[in-house]
Amino acid sequence: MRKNPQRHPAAARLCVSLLLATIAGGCASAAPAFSSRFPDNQEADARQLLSRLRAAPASQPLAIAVGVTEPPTQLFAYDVAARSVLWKTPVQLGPTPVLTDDAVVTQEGSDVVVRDLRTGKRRLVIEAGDGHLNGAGGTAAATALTLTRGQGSFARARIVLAAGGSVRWEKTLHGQAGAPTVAGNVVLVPWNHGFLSGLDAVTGDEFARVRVTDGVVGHVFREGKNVFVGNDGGITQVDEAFVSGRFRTDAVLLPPDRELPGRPHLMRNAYDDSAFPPANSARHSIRIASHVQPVEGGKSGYSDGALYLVFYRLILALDASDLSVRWAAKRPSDVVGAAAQPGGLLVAGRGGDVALLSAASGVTAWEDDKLPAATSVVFPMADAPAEGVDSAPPSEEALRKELHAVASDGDSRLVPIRMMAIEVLAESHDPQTTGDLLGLCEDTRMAPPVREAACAALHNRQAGGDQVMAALDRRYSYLKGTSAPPVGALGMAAAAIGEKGAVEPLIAHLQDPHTKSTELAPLVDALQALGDPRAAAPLASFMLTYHADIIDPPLAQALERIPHALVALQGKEAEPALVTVVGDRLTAAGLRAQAEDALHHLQAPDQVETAEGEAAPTAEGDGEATAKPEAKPEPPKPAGPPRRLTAQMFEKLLLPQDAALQACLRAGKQIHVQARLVVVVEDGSVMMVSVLPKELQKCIEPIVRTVTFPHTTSSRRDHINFTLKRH
Amino acid sequence: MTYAWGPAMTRRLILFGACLAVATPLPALAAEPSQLEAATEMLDSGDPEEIEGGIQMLGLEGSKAAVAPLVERVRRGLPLAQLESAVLTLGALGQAEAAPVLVELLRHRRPEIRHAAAEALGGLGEVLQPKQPKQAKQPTAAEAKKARREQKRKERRERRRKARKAKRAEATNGAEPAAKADPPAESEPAAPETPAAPAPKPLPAPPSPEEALRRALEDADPKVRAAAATALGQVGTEKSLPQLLFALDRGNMAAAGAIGHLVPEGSTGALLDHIGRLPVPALAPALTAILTRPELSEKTQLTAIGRLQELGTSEVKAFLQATVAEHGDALRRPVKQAISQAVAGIK
Repeated sequence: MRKNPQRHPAAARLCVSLLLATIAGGCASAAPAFSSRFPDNQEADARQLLSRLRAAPASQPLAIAVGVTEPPTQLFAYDVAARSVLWKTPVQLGPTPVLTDDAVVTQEGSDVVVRDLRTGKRRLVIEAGDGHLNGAGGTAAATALTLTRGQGSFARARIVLAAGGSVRWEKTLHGQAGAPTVAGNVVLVPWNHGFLSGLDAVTGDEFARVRVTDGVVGHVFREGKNVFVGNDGGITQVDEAFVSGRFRTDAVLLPPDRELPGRPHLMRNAYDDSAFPPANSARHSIRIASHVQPVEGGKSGYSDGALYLVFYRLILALDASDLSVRWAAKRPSDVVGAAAQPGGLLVAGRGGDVALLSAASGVTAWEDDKLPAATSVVFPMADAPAEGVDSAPPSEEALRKELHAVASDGDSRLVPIRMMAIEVLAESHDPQTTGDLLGLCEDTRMAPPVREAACAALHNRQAGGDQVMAALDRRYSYLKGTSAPPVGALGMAAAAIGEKGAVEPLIAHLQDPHTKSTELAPLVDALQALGDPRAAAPLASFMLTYHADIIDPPLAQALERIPHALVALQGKEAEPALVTVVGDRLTAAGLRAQAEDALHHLQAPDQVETAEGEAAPTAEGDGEATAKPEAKPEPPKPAGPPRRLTAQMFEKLLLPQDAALQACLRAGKQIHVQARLVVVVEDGSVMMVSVLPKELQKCIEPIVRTVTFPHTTSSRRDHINFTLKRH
Repeated sequence: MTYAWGPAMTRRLILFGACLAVATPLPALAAEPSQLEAATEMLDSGDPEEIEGGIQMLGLEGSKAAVAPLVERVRRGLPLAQLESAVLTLGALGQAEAAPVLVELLRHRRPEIRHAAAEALGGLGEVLQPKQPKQAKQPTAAEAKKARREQKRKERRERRRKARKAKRAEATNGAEPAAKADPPAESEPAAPETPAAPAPKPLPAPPSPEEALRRALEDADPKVRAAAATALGQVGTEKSLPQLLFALDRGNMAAAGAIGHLVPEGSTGALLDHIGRLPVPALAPALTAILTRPELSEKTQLTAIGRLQELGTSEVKAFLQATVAEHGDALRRPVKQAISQAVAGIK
């Protein structure tokens, strides 16, 4: 450890006050700090802790932000009130700086440096060894900081209190320590997830220990006279409830209603990672900014009832109660620093922009571009000047436009928040929103997840039929350079809205080869849902056209939906088309199964009626059994004669005549390589023999007619195609 | 013995059948009912090979009666190979009754089927437009000249008649009576109240072959677009010219030939404007048609030669030389002379 020769002017005053406080408080316990023998949640200790905290002067942080520039890395301070850069100094890139009331603490290599916030001059340098700065806090009189290393059972922490340019005391802890603070003559240290210890600022003795089991205590910080503790999941005030071991009683928690993009937390988890995020970490650009203050009933609450979700360039103001969106704003560059305060949100951008946005509307109250281009900016707990902040929330129309602008941003990094914007837009009943979603759904420049989300959102629209109809009017055209619209989503939207006029254009799209296969299944669903019987014939025609030629899996999916759609649209009239499909051996298996199922459904009501009619007189007992339509038993497979004659059978039957047939191929003036035979057989008799080339007819036909064909079980004629090849 | 049958063989057979159909005297074309029936029954088979056989048998029949079962079978759906065979057969049978199903197939999801359907429709050009004057008989150059002269005489007579009428009106101080106001629309009888809900509007009628082919010019597949353009040249009318010109501008070179066949007197300017913008070989079918079509005026043809002469490239020279060599008999004498002069002027 090296002591800085400079002395803080307030040190003498602190010493006197700490001495008096120590005498007043007395020694609570003789056990060393953080000892396992120290009792927790002792009422007397808790009373003393609260008493000393209430006696402490209010925190008075300077309205100075600090930041780290793009390489070559410099630490700089920015006076938020005066809107000017106070100082800059080169530093070695490390974790994000930490602000106390009047100092900035940084880790630079293996050293932890405490600088004066106004001047940037070093007050103290502490050797961190292999430890990492995990938090710091303090007043003008003293700064407490924690250094941790290792995880779990191997974790060790150092708690250091610096005052007047020197280390006043240092404690060690077998475990992890969170971010501490100083309140008057008390040093508050959170540790091992559930503990908050109060240490005497002069002696370093632990005089009170609170242990909570319903929350995590990772950070302790001050806001005026109030002291708050919390971690990633919630924040609460240090009050009577807390010191008696109850965290959640008065806490503010992150509402669980909606998973936010990037899954940001209220605060950094002080126990998840022993080190701060690096100064150039993307974590500065994906975060939640909030300001907690005491509210009525002794509870804690978010200022303006708002949480601010920062996602690179985008900011969404969320209602803290249900995470609904109040406004959306887009910044000129990625946000690298944000701090909520009553009435607004302070943001700093990577491009050197800094602004105060109104909490109510998101409108920029003031802005400045004098900040150096930074990778991270930390704002103080002090409130920035709030002039120009308005209180009128944006209109529904304005919010829709803001969300649409977010959703249609071309930045692929923003996909999660763009999808969230679509989710919020989908909740709107504004017809224009349907148009917005349509535009997003069919914009091929959009990232696929965004498009898919927009298309999916269309499925449940309740308004915007005109927009849907206008979009359905478009067709693919090579000449005009137009693309096919997202017909499936449009169809579902039309069905949800009940737009009957969509049937005709949907049929046209069904028949258009440029409609993507993936759009066909929802298109069929939409036609079924719209319930217009005019759609039945085109659907049946479509099914018949492709039932034996499944071009791709999405087409198969669409075809498999048609049988039931036909039943829904036509009832009994659907039967001929279904029978054709079921009866064709070329029908794809999946489609056949669906067609059979649809036919069964068509026939089922009759069967039920019949069964009921039969069961009525006999009734009791076996009525239920007969009421259920039973599946028809499989017809017994024919034994003996074949069902149909095949080319393979024909080949075998011709074998005895092979020599004669080969002679026919060689008999003419021209020797033929092959001959094509078409033979029609009925009841074992040859009805017709057709031979190509024709000149072989006279030679081959008599030979074929000598063959004895077996009878078949089928009542139909057998048509045999056969190619006779020369060998 | 092996059992094999491929698309190539199918095509050969269809061509063979088509040749037979053309070469055989009409009485012989009447299909034997049993053979037609057998072929139709083969189409009902679940065996693709057998269906293929039925299609070929119908193709070999070459009669009008073969179209209906084939059309019906196509509408019931076929595997790709059999559908291709059926479309080829329908085209080879050359019957107008096949047009509706071919129009439907222009919207098939497989581009190869759309392409085949477009080609088949083009092949039906003669039978689809039996009443079209240009299809009835191509007039000779002399006949066309005579017709034009007669037309001009008629127009002069009409002009003189109108002038005389106007003079008489002035002399009697009788200004042209004002155009009669439109008679008031007859009040339509009040429609009887119909408590029942109106019947749903019927779906639009299927497009005509020409309309369907015009739509096919917008197809995503270049082969389909080209086939559609070519087919329009065979079955289309002047109505399709704007789309064909647009297609030509968008790189559908097959449209050039179609335009050459369809463009009427006085409308050739739009096509000739493409000289210099598109390669001469690409425009060659259109230019050849313009230079050889007897119903077009000599002036139009000379204008085309003039435009080519202005371009004066070796490609132009080669084209003009080839035109004289291949179509010399169909060229008017002044046109021939102009071509000779143009060729001589191009170095």
